[in-house]
Amino acid sequence: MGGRSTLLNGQSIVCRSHYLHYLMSPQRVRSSGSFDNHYLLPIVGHRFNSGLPPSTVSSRHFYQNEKLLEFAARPSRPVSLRQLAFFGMKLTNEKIIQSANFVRQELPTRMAHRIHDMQSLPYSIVQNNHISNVYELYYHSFNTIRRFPIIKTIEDNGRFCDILRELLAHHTAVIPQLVMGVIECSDLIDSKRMDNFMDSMLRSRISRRVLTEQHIALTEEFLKDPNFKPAEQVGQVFFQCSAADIVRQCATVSRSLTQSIHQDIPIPELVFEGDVEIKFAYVASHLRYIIGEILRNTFEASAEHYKATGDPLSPVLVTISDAPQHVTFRFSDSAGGIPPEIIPYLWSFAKGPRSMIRHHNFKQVPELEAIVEELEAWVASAMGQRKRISSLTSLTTRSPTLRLGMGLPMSKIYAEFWGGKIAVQSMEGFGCDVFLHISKLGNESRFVQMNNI
Amino acid sequence: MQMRQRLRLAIGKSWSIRWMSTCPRQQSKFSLEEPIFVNIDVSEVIASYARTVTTKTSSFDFQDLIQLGRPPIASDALIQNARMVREIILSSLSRRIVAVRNLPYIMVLNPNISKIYNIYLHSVNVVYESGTKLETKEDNDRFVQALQNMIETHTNAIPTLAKGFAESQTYISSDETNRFLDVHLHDRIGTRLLAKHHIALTKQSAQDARRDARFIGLVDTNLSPAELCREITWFLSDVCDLQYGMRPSMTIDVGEDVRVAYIPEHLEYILTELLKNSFRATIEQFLGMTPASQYRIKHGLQREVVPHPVAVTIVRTANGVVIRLRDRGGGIQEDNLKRIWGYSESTFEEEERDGFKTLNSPPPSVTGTGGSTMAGLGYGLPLSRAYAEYFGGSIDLETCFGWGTDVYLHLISRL
Repeated sequence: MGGRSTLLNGQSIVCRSHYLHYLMSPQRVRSSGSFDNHYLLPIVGHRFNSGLPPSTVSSRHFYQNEKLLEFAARPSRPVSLRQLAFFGMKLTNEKIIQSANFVRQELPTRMAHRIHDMQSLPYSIVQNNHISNVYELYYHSFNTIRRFPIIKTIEDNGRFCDILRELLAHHTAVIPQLVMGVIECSDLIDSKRMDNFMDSMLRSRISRRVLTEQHIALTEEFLKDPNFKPAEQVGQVFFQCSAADIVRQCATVSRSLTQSIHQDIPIPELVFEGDVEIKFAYVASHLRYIIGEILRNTFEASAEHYKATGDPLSPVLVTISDAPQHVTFRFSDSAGGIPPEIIPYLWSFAKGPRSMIRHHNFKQVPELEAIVEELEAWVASAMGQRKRISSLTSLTTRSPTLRLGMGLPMSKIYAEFWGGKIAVQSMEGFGCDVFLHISKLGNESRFVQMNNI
Repeated sequence: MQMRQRLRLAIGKSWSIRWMSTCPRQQSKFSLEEPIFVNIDVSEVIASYARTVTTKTSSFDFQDLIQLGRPPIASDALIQNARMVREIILSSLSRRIVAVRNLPYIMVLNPNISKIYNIYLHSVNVVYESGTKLETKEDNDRFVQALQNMIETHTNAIPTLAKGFAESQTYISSDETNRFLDVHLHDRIGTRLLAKHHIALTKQSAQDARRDARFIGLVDTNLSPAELCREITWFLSDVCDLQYGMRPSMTIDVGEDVRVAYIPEHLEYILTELLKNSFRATIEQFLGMTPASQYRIKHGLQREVVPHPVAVTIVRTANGVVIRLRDRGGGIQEDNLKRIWGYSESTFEEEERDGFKTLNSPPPSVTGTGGSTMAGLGYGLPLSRAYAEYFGGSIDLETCFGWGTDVYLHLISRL
């Protein structure tokens, strides 16, 4: 498992492997530096699959786990939307510092829960290249943040935010890494347990990123204008989204991606009905991802259906409905429906019958590696331009040949994170209806379910 | 004959009094020719049959209904079928009796529930007796008579049972009620289906029967869901007209020509229930009577200019058919979504207004007696689901609150 992996162009890259594995493997893997205390090494330039940074996991790792257990024993504190968004509150130095220290405590606690989870997984799973990369990244980040001294001034906060930005950047490629690991390890663990693991990892990740990005955004706004009072547009995170605009934008992106591989095949238009003009507060990037996935599935299915039957394509009906607490999007297509044998596995990360998985193994992994490379290069350039980094954006614009099979399970996690729902009804041979219920986030006294993850 | 003699012997003995005291003193009000006898024979029958299949699965597939081929059916095949039907029905009835016996004592003293108990005992008697010898055509005819009697006796059982449960709410939780009724209705559907099917097969195989290649017993091999929807809409329009002064409408978007083999009674019941809900919601939404419409009025959102037609999509699948009903009735509120599938009387009470009871009566062809025996029970949806699920189908519901509801009916029928 740990050892070598080959990129598409044949270059061989040595992966980091555990010290124990190194000792026991017949071919010794070379790595520079000693296996001693790595914790103080800078994390800039930390790359996956590179031979450079020595492993976090040394022979002493086992005995140094106490700190982690201490953090893992603490419960994560529930976060109210008001706290997150600071709706209507005037920002002051003290409030910013308070927020910074809250993040400084919460991040390691939540990470510790997930690291602890990973430590409990079977050895064979975490030993997988990709999963062990994620494990080491998490552990390293955990140590970095927990060692940051208590923040007392705005300058301290400035340094803290720099660290946070780097962390966000380095964690960008975690999702593809996890996905690769899941695909490769699907025979090693029962699928329910895998689904639960992915579920908690992703939900925790969302919560940490939202906390982090929100704090950074508030810091930036405050530095620009000390009298800034967050109203509807809070930092870069909670936006007033226009339902129809988002759908149209996602459709444009999804359509061009699908068209690029199915070149002469007509892709159906969208027809809107319902409360098309409504606006509501939501995390725009999440919504774009979910709707993007849904439309991608629809367009892809439409193209396949056209190729198989030559039937003219009727437009996709998009219904938007406004309710007191929710907004509902319904996407109705006539693209042939979902084959019944796939339906039991629609929402699972670990896909059904073994044959499908082997097939995936074979086709997917080199492409996923490519996406990781792509992401890292993109992250480096974005860091240089200090652009806001969102791993979701990269996933949203990924090549359509990259069929991860994770679109629906991931969308479900994102939708449910904020109290929404997603459901699919298939009419075999005719088409599909997808229902996306979004909880409006304008109500600031809501408690976001961000505890215990 | 034998049973009456036994009863005369037994009357003097104390254990018979003990047996009979489990029933209330008043006689059941059904027009039975003779009072019900509870004696050891029947109890043994029940005990032995009740030991069979205990899970909630049907004892037969859709395929089993048509495996004998098209009528006329050879006499010995019919006799064989009669024997099988008798076994399954006796098991089913016996299980029901045991289930009622397991209800709290006080509940079975409720006259409605004890009425049900008695008619089940009666039916076990009748079906058992009439089929002890099944070898000739005459035997079959006698058996068919008994089946007919059973069906008629049980026709009004559901409202009675519902009333009994409603009155017993203090003695049983709603979860247990739901569980009991789920299994009870499931068994009842199977029993009646088998009985009516066998009766129909017999009639269709008789010497002087009119040959209609389309029907195999109860199964219509060329059923058109589209036509059925139109008939039901026509019937329901009248009812809505009476209630609201407006007529709903329906369009068949896809699947006008789809034909399927299924049991018309079942499909008719389900579609009537679903269309009734859709029409009612559509009209009320239009008239501003629903909470969804009131929200829209308050926030100045777009409203319907006319009550929008209910859109029906019918699609033939590998295993059967799927029918989607799409309405613009404002959708269903989150808290109600779970309640609508339960058997609680209270939902009904809240929702129903006076004139509504007419809207809830299914067409006479379903009830057979022309009476509104199913009127306003709040059992419509769970019963529809029981019909759909009997052969492995389902009813799923997705709602866009504020806009409308989509209902997906999957039916399994393999020809």
